[in-house]
Amino acid sequence: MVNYKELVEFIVKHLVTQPELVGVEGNEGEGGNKILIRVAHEDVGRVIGKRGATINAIRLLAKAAAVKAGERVDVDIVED
Amino acid sequence: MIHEKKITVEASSIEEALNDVSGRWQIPAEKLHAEIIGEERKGFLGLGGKTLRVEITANLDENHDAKENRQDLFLRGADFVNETLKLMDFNAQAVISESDKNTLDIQGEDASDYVVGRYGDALKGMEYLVNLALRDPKYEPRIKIDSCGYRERRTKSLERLAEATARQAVKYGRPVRLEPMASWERWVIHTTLKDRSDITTESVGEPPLRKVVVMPKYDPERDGAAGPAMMRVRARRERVSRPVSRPPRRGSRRSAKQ
Repeated sequence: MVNYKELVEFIVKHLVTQPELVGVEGNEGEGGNKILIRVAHEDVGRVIGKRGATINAIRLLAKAAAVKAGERVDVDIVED
Repeated sequence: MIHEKKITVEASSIEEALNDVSGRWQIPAEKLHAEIIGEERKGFLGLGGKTLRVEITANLDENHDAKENRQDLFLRGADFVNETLKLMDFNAQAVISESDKNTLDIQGEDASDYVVGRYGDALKGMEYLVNLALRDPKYEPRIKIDSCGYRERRTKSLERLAEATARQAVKYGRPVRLEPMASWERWVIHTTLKDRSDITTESVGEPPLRKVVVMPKYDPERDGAAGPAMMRVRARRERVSRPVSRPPRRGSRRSAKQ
């Protein structure tokens, strides 16, 4: 089984300036796995990237893992 | 060549600051220079101790350290990729490629079906993230990631695409836009067509939507003084006198006129 939460957390902790403030939630719902990233306010832009390039790259990896597992996964970030 | 690297950290002592930065940069503490630039008392009557603001500087001999850093970067890169693959529950490992020392090659049972997949998506995502997470763009080369010869296959297919697009641009006498591509993919298109006298190429837009436009080159001798407009007229005349087997795409502006 893929642990999407750990996967996303591992990647995000490598990208931010304040790794200790990274929190990742994972919910398994009807529409598949929902992963929600929380980071320090100053790190939000860093995780999203230019035109969402970074968050999209994280999604690509989560989705590739989901293809093998035959599941669905959505990755998002809390922006406030 | 010598360059200077600088960072400001907060710590309770100079030793602590040196250790912290030494670990972060992978440089022995003896090579670092520390200077206190501010302090702050914590707690009641200074009982909680104080926090120092320390500026750490390293003078690096670039040639020497760049080499060391390079090796270190690719080892850390392989670790990062391997840990990610493990968390993705993929049976695959990254090793430094034998044919290209700037490439990490992903091998294993799941490499071709899931790492490369249909469009190399996971490969692109992995390459982007490993560079963003580990690389210092000022001093270190980009880490490239490949698997199952994907890059070579993609390069061949891009070369074919470049040639086909050039034919199309000349035939219709107008620019043809390609799909958005990564920088190295655009580079393949530019390089494939760079020696053609009847074609120029240019990239437009901002990443990740930056794309190549393939344009027919205006040739004064062939097209006359009327300029680019004449080029289109000539292209059309040639098409009419020499019908092609494949009709233009439906919905294109040309189809109505033929």
